Amino acid sequence: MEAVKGTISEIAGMKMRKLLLQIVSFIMIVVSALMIWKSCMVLTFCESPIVVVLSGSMEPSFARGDILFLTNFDQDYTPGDIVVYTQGSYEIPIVHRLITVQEIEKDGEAYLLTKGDNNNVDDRGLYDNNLTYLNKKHILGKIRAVAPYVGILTILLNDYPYLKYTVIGGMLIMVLVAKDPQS
Amino acid sequence: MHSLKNRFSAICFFTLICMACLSLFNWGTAVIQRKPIDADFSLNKMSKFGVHPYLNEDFAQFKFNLQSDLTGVFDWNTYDLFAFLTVEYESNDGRKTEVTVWDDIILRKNTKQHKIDYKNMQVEYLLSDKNKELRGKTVQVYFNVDHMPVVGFTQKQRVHVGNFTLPEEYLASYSAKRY
Amino acid sequence: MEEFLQTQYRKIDEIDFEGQKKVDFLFRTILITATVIAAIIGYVLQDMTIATYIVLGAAGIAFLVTGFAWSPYKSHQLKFLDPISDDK
Repeated sequence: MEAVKGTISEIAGMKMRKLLLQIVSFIMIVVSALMIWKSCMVLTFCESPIVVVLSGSMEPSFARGDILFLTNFDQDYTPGDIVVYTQGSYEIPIVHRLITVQEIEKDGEAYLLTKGDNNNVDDRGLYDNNLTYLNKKHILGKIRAVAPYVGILTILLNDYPYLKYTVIGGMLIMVLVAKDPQS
Repeated sequence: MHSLKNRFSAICFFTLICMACLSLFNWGTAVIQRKPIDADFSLNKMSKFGVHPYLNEDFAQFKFNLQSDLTGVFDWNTYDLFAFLTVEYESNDGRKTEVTVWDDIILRKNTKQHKIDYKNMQVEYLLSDKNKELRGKTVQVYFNVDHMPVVGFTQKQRVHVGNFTLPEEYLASYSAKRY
Repeated sequence: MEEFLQTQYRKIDEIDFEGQKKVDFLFRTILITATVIAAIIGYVLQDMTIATYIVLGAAGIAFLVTGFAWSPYKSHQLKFLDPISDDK
């Protein structure tokens, strides 16, 4: 009887350890992904160095589902740069092109006007009520490179939220239930 | 590699690596062979020059001629070219202003559009100055082209195509009703 | 029903070690040659779409040829020793 109880507690203890090992490996994967993201942020001086194109206002150059790479170490803006900015009450960052740059002080603050390639008018309608130009402080970064179609998964997950829940739920189940190859 | 899932995921990720190498080759061979652009510009007529009734700024609108042959600039990495005309000048105390007055998207598929030949084209956006210093100013005109790639880095090219001087006095006064 | 699905899945799932070597070599050669061919053809024709389709087509071929457990990959089965009886 004692031997049986002993083996049962031993097995239960081992299962607990295995479960904890699985949880810790999962946390390590998540944390290393976060580390890579944060190092990208440090290298590019930018808060979100990779964005997915969500709207069609820059077609045909950038279609929905492309990913864009941003940097922010060069604060020198000229017309034709594609910038990502947020301002005022509109929280989603917008990816549009600069069409006018007027310096307020030499190499300092500047007035900037943006417009999407596919739109007919400039963005003054999107700015807050008393803003006719943007300033450099509104800008998150400049677009340097594009990779087409890589962000289609993000678009699908955004458009169909049930898909998002199934994918995350499925991944969690796979991590917890998968056979440990070392066992 | 023993199970189905292992093999499928190995093939998927190797395909991703191959596509990344192909994209690098695509961008690399195109960027080392980029040809410079060239254009001819002339000012045709200053159509409007005054104070904007809503923005309280100087503004000017003009008509121009522009010729350029962009056939050699396209390669297999260019998806389209964003061509635009900028007007640049310095204020009286050395601050730069650069304004886009006209732009156009030229797709690689439309080969007829590759040769630009515009006569008497009206500018799309106003040349405006917040400090109202446009009277009598000599401005430089640049023709710029932004390569929008299929994959890879974007690249801007620009060439100086001319300059003109704005009139010493406003052409008319524009009230809100008439504008 | 459950048993039937399990046995069918095992038929396309398991391959032996010699098969693993062959599968490794095969899908890598298929994809690398396809990438090189796609790069050359794309550069000559100046068309990225054709190059992409060549690589994706080769990935599909690799899926079919190496993804499932065909019989050439199962020909060198491991020989297990005969079971020996317990001492107890």
